[in-house]
Amino acid sequence: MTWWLRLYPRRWRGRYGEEFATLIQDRGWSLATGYDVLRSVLDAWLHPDLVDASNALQPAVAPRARGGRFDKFTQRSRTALDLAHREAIRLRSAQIGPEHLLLGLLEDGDSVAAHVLLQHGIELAELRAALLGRLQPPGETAARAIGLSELAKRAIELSVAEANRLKHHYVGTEHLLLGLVAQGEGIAADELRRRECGNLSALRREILQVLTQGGPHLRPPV
Amino acid sequence: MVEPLASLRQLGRFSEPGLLVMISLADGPKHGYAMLEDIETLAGVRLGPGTLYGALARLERLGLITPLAPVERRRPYELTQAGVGVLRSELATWQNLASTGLRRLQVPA
Repeated sequence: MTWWLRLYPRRWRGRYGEEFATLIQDRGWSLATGYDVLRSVLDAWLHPDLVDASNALQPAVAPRARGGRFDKFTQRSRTALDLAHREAIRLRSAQIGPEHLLLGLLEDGDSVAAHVLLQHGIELAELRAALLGRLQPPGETAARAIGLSELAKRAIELSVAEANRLKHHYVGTEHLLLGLVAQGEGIAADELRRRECGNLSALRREILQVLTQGGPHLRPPV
Repeated sequence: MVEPLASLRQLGRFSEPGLLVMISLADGPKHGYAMLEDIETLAGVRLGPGTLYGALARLERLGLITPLAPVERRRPYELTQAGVGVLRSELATWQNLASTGLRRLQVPA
């Protein structure tokens, strides 16, 4: 092993060492590279949590200590929430509603939720178009931080309840989907019902099936 | 306001490298060397390898990129679908900002 790699924490080396050393070998050393690598060594020691066991097969319980009501959410379901937030801003909505949550879920075709919908015969792009077609015309809200609507909050609370009910220690996209169905009001729940995806206990069964059996589209939740 | 979440802005000094990396991956998977070359041609920015890997680790942590199997010890990365969504909306924000700026300078966008 190249001596300078030993400066990095062991876990970092295990994950990135080989490809990183190859990159530096390909690029060659310079003074600037040396300085950059030293900063990166410091960064790796200061942020040990960055080295992710992303190849682990078990759903990762979101380990980031951010506290509050989102700390059990997986990275994927956080990303779905973030995408919902962005969709609401893009559509100039005053609040993030359940329909934005569903739009956020639809963006990530690799998620468990997307997989369950696909299995259900639902075209993600078609559902997305249907939702967009029913949304209110844009209001005057400028792009800024906006909050969750009461319905969206309720849907998220119910998704946590669904995770607890299934004795899952994380809240994934599949639980968000269950939360949207359980909450039941609004465009999102209505469009899901129209596609025969409105029966909570049937949906729970389908999700458990996907989680235990996996499938061609399914990668382990991140 | 929604709390946690994948925004490039939360990456601090890695947010610009992160955005450049995502733009570089927008037309398909690349390994580190190819990304650095691409970013240099595209933006005239010479990222160091340590900065690159700082950004890669963070983007991976946010679920925006995913590592593929290494080819001859060089590991390609690709955007996840969530990454595509975030990049799209990030770029739309920048486009907005750019056209506002240009308008204020009275330069036709």
